[in-house]
Amino acid sequence: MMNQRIDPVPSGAVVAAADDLTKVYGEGEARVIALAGVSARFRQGEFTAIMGPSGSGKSTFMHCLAGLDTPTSGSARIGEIDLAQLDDARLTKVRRERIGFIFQAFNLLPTLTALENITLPAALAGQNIDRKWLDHLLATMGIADRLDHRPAQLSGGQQQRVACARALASRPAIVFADEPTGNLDSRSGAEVLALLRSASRDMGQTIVMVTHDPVAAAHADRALFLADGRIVHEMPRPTTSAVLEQMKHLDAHQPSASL
Amino acid sequence: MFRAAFRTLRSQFLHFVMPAIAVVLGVGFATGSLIYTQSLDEAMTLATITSQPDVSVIVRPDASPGSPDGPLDDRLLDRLRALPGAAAARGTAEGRSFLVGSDGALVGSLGWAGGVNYVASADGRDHRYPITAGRGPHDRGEIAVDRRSAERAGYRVGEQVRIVVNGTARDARLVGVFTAHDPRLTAGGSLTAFDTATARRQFSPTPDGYTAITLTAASGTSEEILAERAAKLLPPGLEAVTRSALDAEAAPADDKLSMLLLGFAGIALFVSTFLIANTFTMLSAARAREHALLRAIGATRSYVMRLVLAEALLVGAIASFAGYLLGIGVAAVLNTLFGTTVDAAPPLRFFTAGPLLAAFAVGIGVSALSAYLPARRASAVAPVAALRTGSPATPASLRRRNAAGLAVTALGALLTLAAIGTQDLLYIGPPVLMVGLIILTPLLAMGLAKAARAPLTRLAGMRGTLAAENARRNPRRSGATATALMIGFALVCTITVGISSLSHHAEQEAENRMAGDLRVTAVDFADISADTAGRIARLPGAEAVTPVIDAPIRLADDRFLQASAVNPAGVARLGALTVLQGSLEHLDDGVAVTEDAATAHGWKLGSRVSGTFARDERKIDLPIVAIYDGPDTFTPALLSTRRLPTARTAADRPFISAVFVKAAPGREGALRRDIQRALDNPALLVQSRAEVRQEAGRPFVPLMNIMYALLSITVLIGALGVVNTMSMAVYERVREIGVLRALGMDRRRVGVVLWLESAVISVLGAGLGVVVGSLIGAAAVLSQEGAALVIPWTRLAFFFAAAVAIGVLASLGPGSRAARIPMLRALRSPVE
Repeated sequence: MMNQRIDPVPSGAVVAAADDLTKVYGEGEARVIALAGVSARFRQGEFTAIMGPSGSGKSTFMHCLAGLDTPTSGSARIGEIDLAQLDDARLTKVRRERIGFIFQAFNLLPTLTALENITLPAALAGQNIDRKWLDHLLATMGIADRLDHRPAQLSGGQQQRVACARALASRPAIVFADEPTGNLDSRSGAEVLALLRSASRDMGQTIVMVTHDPVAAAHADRALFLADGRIVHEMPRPTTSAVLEQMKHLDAHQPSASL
Repeated sequence: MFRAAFRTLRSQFLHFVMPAIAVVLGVGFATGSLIYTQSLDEAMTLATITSQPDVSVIVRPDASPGSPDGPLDDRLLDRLRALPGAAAARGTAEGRSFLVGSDGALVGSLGWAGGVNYVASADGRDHRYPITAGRGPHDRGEIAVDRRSAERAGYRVGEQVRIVVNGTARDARLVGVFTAHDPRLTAGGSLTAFDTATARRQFSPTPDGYTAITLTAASGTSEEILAERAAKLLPPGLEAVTRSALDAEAAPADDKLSMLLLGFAGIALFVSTFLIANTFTMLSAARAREHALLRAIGATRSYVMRLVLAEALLVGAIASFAGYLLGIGVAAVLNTLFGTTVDAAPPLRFFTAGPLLAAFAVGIGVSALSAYLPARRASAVAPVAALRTGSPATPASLRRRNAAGLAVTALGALLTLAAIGTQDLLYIGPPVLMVGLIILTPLLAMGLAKAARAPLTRLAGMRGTLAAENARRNPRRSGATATALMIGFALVCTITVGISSLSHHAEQEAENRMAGDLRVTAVDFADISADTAGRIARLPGAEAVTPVIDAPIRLADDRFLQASAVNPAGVARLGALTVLQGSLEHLDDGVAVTEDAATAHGWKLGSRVSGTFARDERKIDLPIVAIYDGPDTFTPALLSTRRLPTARTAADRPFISAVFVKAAPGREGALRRDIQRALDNPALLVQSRAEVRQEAGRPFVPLMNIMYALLSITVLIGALGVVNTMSMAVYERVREIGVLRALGMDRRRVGVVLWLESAVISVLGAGLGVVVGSLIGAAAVLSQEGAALVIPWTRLAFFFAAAVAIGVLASLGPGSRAARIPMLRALRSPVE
């Protein structure tokens, strides 16, 4: 069916890594430290949830790691490439060729059909998509009969599945999902999470998901908890209740931390 | 209301920049035209009123034809002078007199080059022409000229100067320089003063006559009473006209210029309405939720509508003010632009009520009018929209609009086609066609974008697909944007096709009228003297010479025969005529007619042509000695100059339209130089066949350029419309652009998508404009009888390319702004 090696055990090569990442916004009085030195490794086929309360820096962390934002110091690597060393053009190229994105607001292009949206990253990179792989993906995502529809003609869940297919289609080194279930009802959300789960397990796709939803985090292989710009906890095989517990704990400390 | 509008304006400042600029340009153009034409009118009126303050009543030949003019002589002058209530009477002998500058060129505006008589009073001065240097002229060898012309010509008192009177150039001594209040000077002409005897010989119908007699009313006598008394003394054919009637005659006749300028300003304003409407539509859509919220908390529909209209009014008011300031600059430009042709720039009056009122009325009116529909649509938003999330309501279907557009376009096309046969339809057909196309542009925009999708995708991959899709996602806006470009380019092309054809036609005509190798003609308003042909004939290398003199004949059956008098031997040797029957040998004793004329009048060789010369009613009765065919100049009938009645008076002087010359083989160049040297008259042009052709087309070049200059404003506004649309597109699609950037589209390509979209819209506007403009131009040309259609393909292709280039250039600004959008902020943008 496919030449991807299936490796259910997330112990493969390091696909992405952050080393002592810091990110500071503003200067003087308005200075805000969003990341205060974050290090993490993401291995082949691993599905990681990044959790944390609002303002914990989890989005900033993802943005820096995904080449959407540049860190103030430290390094963010995708494979052997240190994103911090790249200019905008090279960063763009890395995003195009090695990274997939899933957004909370779906962010499909309204003028393109579902299929065109899915093949958009490959088209931007000037690559051809392996047709067999694409068919497989479409079947998995359950949108094979919606390909000629425009986003406005699709339900939210369908749109997000198209967005998932878009992120996975070019088989990027890593997929970043930013609150992928945030705009969905619980059933559609569960479908999308199951798809991500299976992409990681069955296709060996490395996925990093930012979320504040413990149910979503429970689908991941592990959860990283951020607070005040630092990783404060790592939880392997998270469950909803364990994550919830950890979050309560973090929330309890939040006020003191911010003072 | 206005405070809220003002706040919106401030916060959305950038969105209003383009529409405001469009209004500023339109208002500036309109007020500039008004300021200029008003200043011109006022200057002319002022000049007329203040000119020759001593004139209360003028006695002159009346305009009625047929009645012989009574003598305007010294006896009449004495009797008029003796009238009770006449303080003074003066005989004037005026005509055309050209001054040759020290550079050999004629000075000033030729249409206003006057020769006048200097009447020294007891103290040796003429109060009508006060001398500022030197003295008044005493005899034929002396002249005085107005100060400005003397300066322009580079002459000082005491110098020998050259003048041209009645077609002859001669030298005279400049003995004085004067100033004068005279409309001819205001219009950029020159005045040359002669002593009265010389002036009478030159200009009066009879050597002891005048061209007019002016009376000065004594204090206590009104012009009307004086005119009445004078009229009683006058023989038939003369009239006494009061000063006020005279001034009324001189009232600005140049309404055409102001109509033309205002017409073009109107077009510019019309085009800007599309830009304004686009902006307000976009803002209404972007602020639909805000308006819905207002409605939800209790604002009425009309409140929301007034809110939007108030914004338009504010934009209009601010833009009107700026437009007025621009108008002052435009007036100055127009003043120099047209001032150079008439060589007189009137002082501009910058702040008068008319233009000021017009500026604000037009600016505010245009803004409010263009914002009306968007405002109504904005007010129609349902309060519940405030609670809805997601995409805004889909716009209304275009089906009805498209059907109407198709119908109107078809009607317009039919009417335009029909105009080829019925000229009057030219004023209806093309406008209807344009309106139809304007209605239809959304459909066309969708169609073109759809058709362009595949080729653009092949050409530019995903960028092409996105560009084509974006161009059709808001067909109304794309259509309105294309419309703005279309109107400008349609007019440019209509004018290009029209004027090119006219110019070609004129060249062809000129060539058809040409005979021999060289042609001598007088510049506009000047004459060829009677001895010109004779002088040329005496030059070595002049093989054949003939003048062509107008000699219209009223036939016995009251029909007119536009005959010309020529030198029979000259015409025969010129070799321009094909004699079909008879011979030109006996033309001295007969008439030659063209075959067409012979057919029309039922003449044969030997028939007698009898009637009277239209000029002086003298009888003519001659046999037809030849039937011929030849260039238009020599049609439809010829007779010998010897048959012309000899001129009894200066007014009878025959009008020589041209002198044709055939040179001995190889002598053309030398002969031409000899003629120029012999005549030594800058008011005469000596031209070869090629130059005659060129000369005929020459006046069309500046005409076309002026049209282009006037239309450039409209085209500029069209281009601003594209900038505006692309800016709005960037504003609306911030998030999409963010997504594309995140997915790996680099900055350059973001710009490329935008300029491809812009190119699609511009191709639509330019293509429609060029095609429709050319068609309308062609219809206009074909509706003129005898005109041949000339389509300047390269120029039209250039306009098309220019229009597309404008579109692409217009997208560069918004494109680079789009490329600079910070990606993360774009991704978080709430805008759909």
